[in-house]
Amino acid sequence: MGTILSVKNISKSFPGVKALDDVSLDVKSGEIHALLGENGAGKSTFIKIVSGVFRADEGEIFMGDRKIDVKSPADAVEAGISVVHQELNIVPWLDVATNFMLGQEKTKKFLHIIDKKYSIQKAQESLKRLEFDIDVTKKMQMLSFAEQQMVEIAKVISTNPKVVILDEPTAALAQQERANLYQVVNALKEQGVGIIYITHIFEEVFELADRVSVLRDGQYIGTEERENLDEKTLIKMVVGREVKSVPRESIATDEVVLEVKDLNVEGKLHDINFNLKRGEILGFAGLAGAGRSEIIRAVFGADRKDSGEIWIEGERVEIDSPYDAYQAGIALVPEERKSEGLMMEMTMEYNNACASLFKTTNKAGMISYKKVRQRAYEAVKKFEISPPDVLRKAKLFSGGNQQKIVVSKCVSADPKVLLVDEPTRGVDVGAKEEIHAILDEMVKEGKSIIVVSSELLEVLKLSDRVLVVRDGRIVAELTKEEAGQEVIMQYAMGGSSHE
Amino acid sequence: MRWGEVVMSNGSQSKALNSIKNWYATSKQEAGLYIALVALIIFLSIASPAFLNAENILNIIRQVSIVGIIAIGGFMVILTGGMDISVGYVAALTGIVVAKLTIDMNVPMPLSITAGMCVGLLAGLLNGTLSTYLNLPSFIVTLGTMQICQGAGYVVTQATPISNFPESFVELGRGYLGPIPIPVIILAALYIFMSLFMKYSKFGTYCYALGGNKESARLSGIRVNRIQVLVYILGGLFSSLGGLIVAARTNAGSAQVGGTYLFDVFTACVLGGTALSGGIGRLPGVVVGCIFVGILNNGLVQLNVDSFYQMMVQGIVLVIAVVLQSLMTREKRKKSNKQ
Repeated sequence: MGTILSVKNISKSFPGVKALDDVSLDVKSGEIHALLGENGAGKSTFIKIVSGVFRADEGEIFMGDRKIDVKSPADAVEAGISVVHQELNIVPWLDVATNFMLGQEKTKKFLHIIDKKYSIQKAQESLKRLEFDIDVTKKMQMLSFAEQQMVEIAKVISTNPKVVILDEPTAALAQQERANLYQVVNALKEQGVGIIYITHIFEEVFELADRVSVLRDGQYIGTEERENLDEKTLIKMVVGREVKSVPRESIATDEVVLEVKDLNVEGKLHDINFNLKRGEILGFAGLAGAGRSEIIRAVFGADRKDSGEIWIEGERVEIDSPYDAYQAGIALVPEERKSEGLMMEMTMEYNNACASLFKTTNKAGMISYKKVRQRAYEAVKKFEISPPDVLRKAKLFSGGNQQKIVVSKCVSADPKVLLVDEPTRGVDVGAKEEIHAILDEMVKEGKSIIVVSSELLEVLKLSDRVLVVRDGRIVAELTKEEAGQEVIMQYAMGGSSHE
Repeated sequence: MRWGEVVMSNGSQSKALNSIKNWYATSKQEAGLYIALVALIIFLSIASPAFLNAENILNIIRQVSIVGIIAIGGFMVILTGGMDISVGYVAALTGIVVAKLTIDMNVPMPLSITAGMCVGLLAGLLNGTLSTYLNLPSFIVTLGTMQICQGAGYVVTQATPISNFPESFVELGRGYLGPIPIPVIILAALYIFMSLFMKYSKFGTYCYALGGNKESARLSGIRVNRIQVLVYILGGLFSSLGGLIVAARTNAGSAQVGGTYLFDVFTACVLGGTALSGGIGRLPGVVVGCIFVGILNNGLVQLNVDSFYQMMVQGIVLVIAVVLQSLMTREKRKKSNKQ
């Protein structure tokens, strides 16, 4: 088995974040190479560089012995590297054959009319080679997600790539569909294709992979033969060793501030019950897609809920919209600060004020710009926002400072309960510590906080109590003493993978 | 001070110079518009001796007032990230309803004016609820409303204008208070009030928030749907108010007047620096845009340009304005990328 693709010493920075730092990786012919890492570890940046979406700041890519320069996705395909993205590139209202040939149609000379017969034949052949039987004249939207994915994989393979990158291909698949996919992946392997397989799910790694590489915080952690790995070692590699940081002192009381009873969202959340105490930081852990964010978004009224009661300080409140939530004293720091948290084209002081304009009005109900500015400067000082320019547009701040602005916006409305979804995603290490300190400060001021994070370490560091979510259910409640990375991971992934 | 202001600190220069520079940096487009406006006025006063005539100037500002009133509503809708192309025909239908009720059916004036305003209210309600709660593209919804109003206008008038209002109503469009035409007074009052309202009220601020990022506004606890529907209703009401004044000034309710206003209102908003993507724009800019459009239209008549060519010139001006706006935002983006 010879090495087909080797990536050497790749680095890539974005403003404020070093996304990849000196990462090297190689793939052999006929090998399934699993790539693991937490969200934000740099996996997607890595794929984007290899497939020509981004250009690396430093580093080289070799196909065999030949150095290649991947300037665009077309270059990558040309060199023999193809990607099956998590989100499929399909046109739902066109039929399977047309989707299959999109961009590489064979046309007749007259008016470039598409040779439909050829499309159908080519699509059928390629799908048959994957032992996948489907009527290619069906509209794409009539197919299930798994079937659509199969078509996409077949399309990718039809260009005869040497390396195929699969980005979390089983994330949206049911158990049986996964088995089918594994078959296809193994078939590709037999044909001598090198496969980079990105996943969160450890089961898959042990079922499929020949070798495993791990990224963490943009750093290359290591590559191991699968035989030499057990789950514990792998978890350690992915989440890292416990970082020595000053443990939070718990100041949680016994007084319940927020209580959620029998919350249900059809198809997403089932019988969610929990409470939050004054001065407590409650952490939600679980795999991506398990329903962590969905719970707090439903509580906040950002998403519709089918049933459930929400009680604030012993009184039942009706929350059907974020407006209701703010009225009841609940604020949310949303997951995506760019699309949900901030108005990027507007100033820091505007963003800071817009959730709490009632605090900046004078007796006549008019907005006092003096108060707006005064509050903005208070926030800059309190949260150490830098640069301290309240008239700077939100988009010009670094990720960490943008995140602080979102927090300050939510806190300025003086909520009793602060829900924080991914407090430090895409934020560098220094700002991360600062935001953790801010959250600690908030509970000292008497607020109660729920933190949702895909980073286990973050949940462990901040939380007084941890709830583990799996498949839309709360499967475990752990005290600070009981909670540990291994325990949480085991609950989060279900009973099947204890060995 | 206003939302989106950039401060350039430069201690050595005088305050006044600094504030001019500041203003220029933040309102490049408005500045460009002022320059173009002055150039246009100089050109027209040389090219056409009748242009600076007092009567002609009065004529221009009266025309501008009507476009201006309708443009307030149009501006608000664009600011929140939507589009209302029904404004002109809502205005026309309002005039027609008032004319039909007053002239043909002898309904008392206050009652028929109320009915006329209901046209705007209902059109706005329809536009607002459909585009907000069903999440339909506002362009299509208002295109439908536009056509409904146009059709209704022709049905009621049978394509012949209904004329001869009572003298008191005609005064609204033709009368003077001292030396100033009444429509101008109405426009000035509305602009001052609305400019302050958009700046100092929660509602106005939320309009900017909606245009800036609707999802973020929603998650900040702002009742975005309610505000969006209200904005469309206000858009309809301002159109109706404009329609009343058109009817008074022409002393008739006619279905033909609708088409011109859509174009003028739209051009005025774009020229005045309102971003079509929403979130950016100011009413004072829109007024200047209206004045520019009014002077341009009048100048073309003064210069005896054939009316079909007039349309082409108007179209060219709109396209140039949009191109300049997009070039400017691109320049800004480049700069912010560097930072």
